[in-house]
Amino acid sequence: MPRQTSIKFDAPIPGMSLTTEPGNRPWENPPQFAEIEQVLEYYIDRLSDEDRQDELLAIVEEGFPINMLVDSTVTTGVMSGLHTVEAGLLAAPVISEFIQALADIEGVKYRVSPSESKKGLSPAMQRKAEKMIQEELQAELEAKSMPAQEQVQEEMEETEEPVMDRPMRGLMARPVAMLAEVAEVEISEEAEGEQE
Amino acid sequence: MDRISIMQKNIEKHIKKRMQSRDSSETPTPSRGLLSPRGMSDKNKNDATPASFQERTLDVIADYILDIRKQKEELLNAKTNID
Repeated sequence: MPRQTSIKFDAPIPGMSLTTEPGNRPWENPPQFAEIEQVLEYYIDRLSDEDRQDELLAIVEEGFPINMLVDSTVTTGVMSGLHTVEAGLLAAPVISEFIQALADIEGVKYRVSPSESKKGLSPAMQRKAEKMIQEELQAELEAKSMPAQEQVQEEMEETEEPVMDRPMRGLMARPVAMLAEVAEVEISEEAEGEQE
Repeated sequence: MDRISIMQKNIEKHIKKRMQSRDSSETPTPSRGLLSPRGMSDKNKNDATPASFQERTLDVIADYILDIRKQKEELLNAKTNID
């Protein structure tokens, strides 16, 4: 037997059922619906009401599990003496299916059981999908910008001046004055050569 | 797993079983011969033994679920056609 880890204060006190006359409670009397068809028709009629559907879908969209919702609905039915516990349990899958269908038609994401994540993409899958889309977009942009880049490069090459004419920059570059001196010396040497 | 999930699993199993039995009954092989069972059609269909009662209840639930699924499909198809 599993050890009880927490004390349940919301559970009935032993002997609580004997505090009223037997048969006073609705569930202690014969149920209103004996046949499973009657139980199902009752719930489907109730769920077909549009105002109720809107409320229901709002709760489901918030992330409340459908099966928990169905469980509480069925338990309320038992408490009000509509049907037996067994009939409620038998009707539960149909009610759950009905709400799921409703959510699917309206395009609402839902959870069937508490352990399940919302239907659709999980956060990890969503991140992966986003990454894939980003990569694809980047590749597309690169492919589009390639011809433009080539054109720009060609234009640059056409307008480019000879490398020697460009002033050299940087720490290791010769100062401009020195370059001018070297050019003067070269010119004077050439002139001397011509005179000779 | 909650009790409704367990119930849903059982119903799904029943639906599968029913589909399989329906598929196999589509191509019946008539049994002939001296030892073949006779008068099967005369069997009392309203025999309310516990097993048949259970089968009938599960059949009712399966019918409802299949009906809901069918209606959902029809509505979704109509929606996509409009779009």
